[in-house]
Amino acid sequence: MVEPDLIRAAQSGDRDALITLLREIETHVYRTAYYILNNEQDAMDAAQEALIRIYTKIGSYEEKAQFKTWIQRIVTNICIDKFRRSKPTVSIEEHDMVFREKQNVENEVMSAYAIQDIRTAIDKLPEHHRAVVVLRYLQDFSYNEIADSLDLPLNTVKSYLFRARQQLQTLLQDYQKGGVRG
Amino acid sequence: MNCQEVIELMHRQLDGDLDEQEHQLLLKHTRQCPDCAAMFERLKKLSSELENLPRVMPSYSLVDAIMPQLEQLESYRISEAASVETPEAKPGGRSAPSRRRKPGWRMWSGAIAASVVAGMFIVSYNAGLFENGSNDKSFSSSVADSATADSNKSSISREVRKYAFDEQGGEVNVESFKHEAANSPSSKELPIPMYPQKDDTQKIFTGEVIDKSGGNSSSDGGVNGSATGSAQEPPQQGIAPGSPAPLTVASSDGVYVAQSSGFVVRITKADEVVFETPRKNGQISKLTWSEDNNQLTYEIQLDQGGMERYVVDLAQLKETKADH
Repeated sequence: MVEPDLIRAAQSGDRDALITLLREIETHVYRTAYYILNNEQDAMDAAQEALIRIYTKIGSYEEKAQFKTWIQRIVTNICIDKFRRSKPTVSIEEHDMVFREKQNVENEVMSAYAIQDIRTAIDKLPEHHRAVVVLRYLQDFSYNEIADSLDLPLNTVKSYLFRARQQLQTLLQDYQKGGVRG
Repeated sequence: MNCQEVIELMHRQLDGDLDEQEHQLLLKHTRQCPDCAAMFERLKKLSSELENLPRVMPSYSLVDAIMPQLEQLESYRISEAASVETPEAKPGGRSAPSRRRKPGWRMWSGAIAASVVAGMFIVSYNAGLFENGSNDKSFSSSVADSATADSNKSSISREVRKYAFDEQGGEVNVESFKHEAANSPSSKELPIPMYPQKDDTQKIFTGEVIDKSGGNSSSDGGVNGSATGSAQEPPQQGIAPGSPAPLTVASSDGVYVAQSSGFVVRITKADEVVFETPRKNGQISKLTWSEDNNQLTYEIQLDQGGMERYVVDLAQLKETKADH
């Protein structure tokens, strides 16, 4: 949580305050980039670009928005726009949720998923679904905060989050059964 | 209530979005429907796994890494502010000692105006029109557009400036280009800073540009080519100042590769990371594999002085701090 006073000082031209502020947020910026891009070097590049953009645009931040959602909007936009990769993601809209789930219901032993499996599964989600999951779980954002960050309607946020979780659950179950990993 | 609706309740429950009545509906349904009960278990497990994803940190300070760029932006901002205070910059002021690394507004307008004039010269030179075309205002404004749009190629501006000031005897009309320069897209985006040159380069005509452009039908290529040697390299992005150079050491059987990256050591097998050490507080050195390739030893030169030695056991995928 960045202090409002620090933000105001940074906005009024106090360069030291602005640098302090960037130091406070760099981990949050990086973490989002890391889980959206699933690659350390790309995350470093995107996070640096986001910090530079925050540095230059700090004057345009208005207090009616939350600072943390303003930051996350900048970094997610950079990740989605600049580093959009042309690799295939699962087409989430095509699944009929209930039908698909009934096929998968088996009383299997549930061991912990490997972190790498979870990251691989997240990486398969379409970009906006991925961004919603990252903001929900890595930034602990509420539905409303996610909606503000991604400029999406609240219902879209919920729908993306629910479908993303449903999809992750299916993918991870496939991994656990020894299904093909991609 | 059908299963589809219940699944939505499950998701909202995971996000703490259910009221008591909805919660009871969910529980009532899952008690009767084993499919939904199993699904709810899996979703709860997934959600808790997601909550426990590692809170990764950058391996070096990103703010430190971008500091050179921020300083350039800062000097640009200052110079922009200065231009508001003194809008009537006179071309004659250019010969005043310029602050190094802090290009002022005059620098910019002068450079852009000069590049316009020089660009105009090159165009007309190549077209054989130079003799009487250089004072044509309408012509120069069209060149101004192309020149400012192209001001990323600072090397061009830098090089042709030498020529322009000499040829025009310092009579470049800076004011007429000021507006375009201020509104050019490149000045709003991250600028490629124009570093002040030594004062004498503005006065001495070296003949370099004429030679190059005269010998090359493409003015762009010719000038650009001649200038690249003197152009400032842009700051390296992504490398923190003082960040140690990465070390890479493969095990003798070639199965594993240990690599230091910033302040962690990563061990990979067929490009897949099998182990990553916690972040260390110093420079990593002396990555050494044991003879049986089951252990990796390395040393940390602590920032506050001193040295630590660590041993990574590949069988257990564990790291222990070793005695010196």
